[in-house]
Parts: sequence; structure tokens; C-alpha cells
Amino acid sequence: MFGKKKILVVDDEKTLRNALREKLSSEGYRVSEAADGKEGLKKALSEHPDLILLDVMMPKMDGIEVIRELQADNWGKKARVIMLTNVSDPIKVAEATETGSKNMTIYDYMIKSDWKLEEVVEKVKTKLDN
Amino acid sequence: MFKFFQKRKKEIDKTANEKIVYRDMKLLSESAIGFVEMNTEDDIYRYIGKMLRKMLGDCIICIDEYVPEKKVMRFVDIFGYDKKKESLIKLLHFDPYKTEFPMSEQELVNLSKKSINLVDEGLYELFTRKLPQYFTKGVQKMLSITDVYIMGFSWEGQLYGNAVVMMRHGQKIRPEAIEAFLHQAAITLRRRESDIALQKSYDELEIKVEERTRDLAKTASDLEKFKLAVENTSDQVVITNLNGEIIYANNAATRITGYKESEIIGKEPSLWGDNLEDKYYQKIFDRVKKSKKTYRGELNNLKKSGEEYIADLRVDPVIDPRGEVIFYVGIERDITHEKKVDQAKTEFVSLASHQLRTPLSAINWYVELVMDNKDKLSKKQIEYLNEVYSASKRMGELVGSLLNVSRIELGTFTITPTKIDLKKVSESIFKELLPQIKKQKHRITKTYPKTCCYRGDEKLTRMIIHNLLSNAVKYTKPSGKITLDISRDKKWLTIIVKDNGMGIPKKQQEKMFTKLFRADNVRGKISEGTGLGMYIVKSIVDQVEGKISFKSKENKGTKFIIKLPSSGMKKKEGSKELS
Repeated sequence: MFGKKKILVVDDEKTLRNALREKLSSEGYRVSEAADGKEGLKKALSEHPDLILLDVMMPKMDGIEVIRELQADNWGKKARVIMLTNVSDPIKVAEATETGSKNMTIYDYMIKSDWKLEEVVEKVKTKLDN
Repeated sequence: MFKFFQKRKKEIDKTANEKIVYRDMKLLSESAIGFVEMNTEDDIYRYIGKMLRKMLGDCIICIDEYVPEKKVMRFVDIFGYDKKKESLIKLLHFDPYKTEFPMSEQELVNLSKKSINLVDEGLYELFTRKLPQYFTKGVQKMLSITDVYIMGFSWEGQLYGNAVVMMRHGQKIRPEAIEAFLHQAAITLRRRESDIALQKSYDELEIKVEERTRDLAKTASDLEKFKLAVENTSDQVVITNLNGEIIYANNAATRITGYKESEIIGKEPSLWGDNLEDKYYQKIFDRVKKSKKTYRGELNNLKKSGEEYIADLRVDPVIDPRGEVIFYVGIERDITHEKKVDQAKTEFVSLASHQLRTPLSAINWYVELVMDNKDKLSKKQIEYLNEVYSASKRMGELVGSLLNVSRIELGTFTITPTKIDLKKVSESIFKELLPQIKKQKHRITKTYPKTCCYRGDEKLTRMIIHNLLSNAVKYTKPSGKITLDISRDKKWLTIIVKDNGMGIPKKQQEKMFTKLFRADNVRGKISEGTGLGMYIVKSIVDQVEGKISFKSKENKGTKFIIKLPSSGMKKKEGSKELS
């Protein structure tokens, strides 16, 4: 178990969560899941995953809110996050990256429907290697 | 005895003289009153003739009126000549009534200086020595004319006319009485002239007053219309003086803000609105006061009730003909509703994008997961899964294009110009299309202008060039030739994309820029293509005030010409970029 990185997937779409879990597991990662922002934040702060795949549009608390909350936390502000969304919304992007740059952690932003699963994995690997 | 008769004669003479003087005085007082009653010039001149004859006794008098514009004497009438007009004309061999007698400068001066002038050579001199002397002498003898005088009546250097007096039977004139009379005549004529001038001014004044009254009535009626218009327009209209204090607020201003007119007048808009920082108002005043230009902006305003609303504000300085600002006019329109609608539109597009893409992501990723176990699949299964995958990709493109179309239609997209490098953008597009270009074995030619720097929105420029190039690559048979030519002049940046591909059938060319249009000749052969690309490109070009055109012949090729303003794209506020 030692050496296997832990990834937290936060997305309100079950099917997409499942697909990500399947792929990531097959690549050898431990995967944890959350179906909304609130649950995601809770799990992040308690499990301290190596990487968080975070959707933007979610009920109860959206991705931007989650990031803001993470920043207020000592561990949270150093967390690795990749934003996964289907909203090609520049305002949200700006919000996300701005929130990030304040903390000098630049958050990556990926549009799900533009990327294949294996490309997502590539990105995850690169992120974890840093 | 002789001495007695001498004395007596003197006494008789004295009495006779007194009688004459008394008679003259009586006539002068008569004429003084008589002149007052004269109404027309003609009356005055004739009266002069009549009275002169009375005063002078047996004589023939010709009265002339002086016409200063022509410098001539116009004959009025003859007095003391009882025979008919015809006989006078016969006698003189000309018709004096129809003759104008020109006056020389010298004559005019003489008449103005001295009123009574004796004509030494009588009628001969009178007729300017043009008639033979024997003739004039004969006439004189016939009419018993002994002395000829010319008497002028003038006042303060202005000559009004003269009387030619021909004394008969050696009668003498009494100059003092006659001069007094001529004086009266001149004064009367002068007064008459002033009266006429005065009447003329009155008439002109009356006309002017009438005109003025009509103009004022019209202005008043116009003002009334304007007042009603401003008072009742649905936009708020506020007028302030130079210090920014409000002097007028229309109905809408009081109604929308909830403040009564008495609460508004005299206050400054910042105090009245009271919810924006002072520096915001400073910004407005800097523009309208210092630059004397219109200020345009949106602001969040507060009603008296505390309710917020969004307003489109416009403040104009009103400038007088000398270029000085005399007051400011502020017009505010409540656009809260419009803004809400706009926001709803953009939220809709966002939501649609999210909702449509989610299932697509699911399809893509699950197909991928299945394909991860390729060895467990048959060839046919792999083939079918690839079809599913590419269909899904096409769907994704369509969704993207549709979303852009929505943004274009709703007018909610932005134009954010920055300094872009046209060569860099084009080269990156070529790199993206490289796999297809290689596959199709197309030959590419590119020309760039000397200065590739352009002030444009990178995303939009990229979309234009990408669309044109990818179409060219897609719709040209293998081993085709594709050219990208970018050039610029003072007015336009011109982008030309040429290919020798399938072309667009002539009958379908007019539909080129419509939504979801794909020409018949490509629909069967090439399945990829949303039919939205050209619509999006044209919409972008239109929005940035450019021009787009094309020339095409089926199976020969197509040439697209895009012109963008050389000075760059203008910034457009909106809520979303196109993606």
C-alpha cells in the first residue's frame, strides 16, 4: 500500500465519477469519491489526498467555494487540485485560477468533453510528479 | 401850404404803408394756420401758389416741387394765368406739366442760400437762354411781365421746391413778408417729410412686432411641446446647474427613485442618490466639466425605499454658442430588467453547455474504457466502437458550435482586443491541422505581411482563420493546393484563403452563411462538418465591422476574402467569450 498515491474525485455525476475511478484504479491509484462540494471538502480535510480532481458545478457547494475553503486550511492551501468541468465559462475559469494564483498554486483546468481519460491520467501523473 | 401837403402826403403814405403791413400780417397768420390743415404734399405746394399770389398781387406764379433723387424740379401748377392749359403749352411750345427741369449744383446752392433771387434777364435767362431772346421778350411783353424772381423754400439746407414769380405791371415785392411766408412753407414741407418718415417707421415696426409675436407664439408652443415631452418621457431626466445642483427633475425621476421633487431640487446628484463613492461622481464631472464630453456608464442606484436598481446613465454638458458649459443634463434609464434578462440568457447558455457535455463525456470515457481491453474485442467491435467515438466527438463539436451561436444570437459575447501576432496564430493553426494536411497530402503556401502585429481578439481571430483553413483542408481532394495570404493596407487587414477543392455549387452560394448549411456536393462525401462554422465566422466578422466574401466554382476551387479593420477590433463588453 505504501507508495500508492491517493486521489479524491469530487463530481456530482455518478457515471463520470465511476469512469474516472475505473481508469485511475487500473493505473494503480487509490481512489476516494465525493458527490458534492461539501462532502468533497470534508473528505479532503480528513483524508489528505495526494491529488483532488474537482468538478466546478455541483450542488451544496461548488468547486470554487471548495477551493476557497481549502485555502483557509493549512494543509488545504498546499493541496494539489485539477479542476474538471464541462462549463467553458471564462468567468468561472478566471475565478478558479485567480483563487489559485493568490496562493501561488496554479490550478489546472480541464474540460471533460475535450479530454480522453488517458489524457486525464497523463495530467494526473505530471501533477503528482511535481 | 406846400409843407402841409408834404406832411399830409407823408401821413397818407404812412397810413397806406401801415395798411399794407397790416394786410401782410393778416395773410401770414392766415397761411400759418392754413399750412397746418394741409394733408398732402400736393395740397401744400398748391396752397403756396395760391397764398403767394394773394400776397404779391398781380403776377403769374409757377410752383415746382424739388425731387432730390433726380435733382430736378417737377412742375406742380401755374397760378395767375387764367387761360386754359392748352394755350400755355402752345405759348411755350412745350408742356411744362410733363417736363422735369434739371437743376445744376450752382442753382441749388443759390436757392438754398438766398430764398428770393431776381432773374436779371427775365424769361430769357429763365429758359436757360435756349429760346431766342426776341421770343422770350415778346412773351414777356404780351403778358406784361416786368420782373422775374425765383424763390426757393428750403429748410436746414434741404430744398423742397421753388416758385417762379413773374411780377406784372411793375409791381414790387415786399421781401420781408415774402421771406417769412417762404419760411412757413419750408417748415411745413419739412414737417410733412418727417411725418411721412415717422409713419413709415411705425408701419415697419408694426410688421416687425407682428412677426415677433408670431415667432414667440411658435416658440412658446414648441417649448410647451418639449416641456411635455421631457416631463413625460419614461427615462429619468435631471438638469443641473454648473455646480451640479439640480434645477429640474422630470416625472420619471421622481417616480422611479421615489424621491419627491422638493427632495431633489437644489441637491447634488451624489447626495440625492447617496450610494456611490464621491470619486465616481468626480469621474463623471471630470468628463463633462473638464473635457466637455458626454459621460456614459452603468451604475447601481438606490431608490428612496432602499431598493437597488441598475441604470444606464448618460450625462451631457450643454454648451452655448461661445463654447461655455451652461448646464448639465443627466438621463437615466432603468435597465434592471434588461440586465436580468441578459443574465438569464448567459446562465442558460452555461447550463446548456454543462448539461449537453456531461453525457458526451460519459460516452467518450466509457468507450475508452472498453477500448482499454482491446485484446478482448473482435475487429468488428473495435470498428463499431470507433464509430461511436467519432460520432460522439462530432456531437461535441456541434454542441460547442451551437453554444457559440447562442452567444452570438443573444449578443452576449465579448470582444477583447489584445496585441496578437498573426503569423504565430496562423502557424499554430497549421500545426493543429498538420495531421489532416499530411493525410491529404496537400501543398500549403503562406504569405504574411511585414507587420504581423494586430490589435484583435485572439480567440475570434483564431476562429476565423481556423474555420477557413480547416474547411479548405477538408473540402479539397488529396494532393490539393491551399494558400493562406495575409496582407494589409491603411484601411484593411485582408485574409485570403484559397483552395482548388470541391467548390460550392452556384445555386447554393447564397446560403453559404446560414446556419446548419452544408452544400449538396459535400454532404454525401464528407460527413464531418457542423454547418455552423461559416455562420459563426460571418457573425464574428460582422460584429468587428469587417467584410467577408467568397468566389467559388464547383470542382475548381474556392477563395475566401476576409477584411478586418486595420486599426483593430473594438472592445465589446459582454458576458461571455466565444469558445
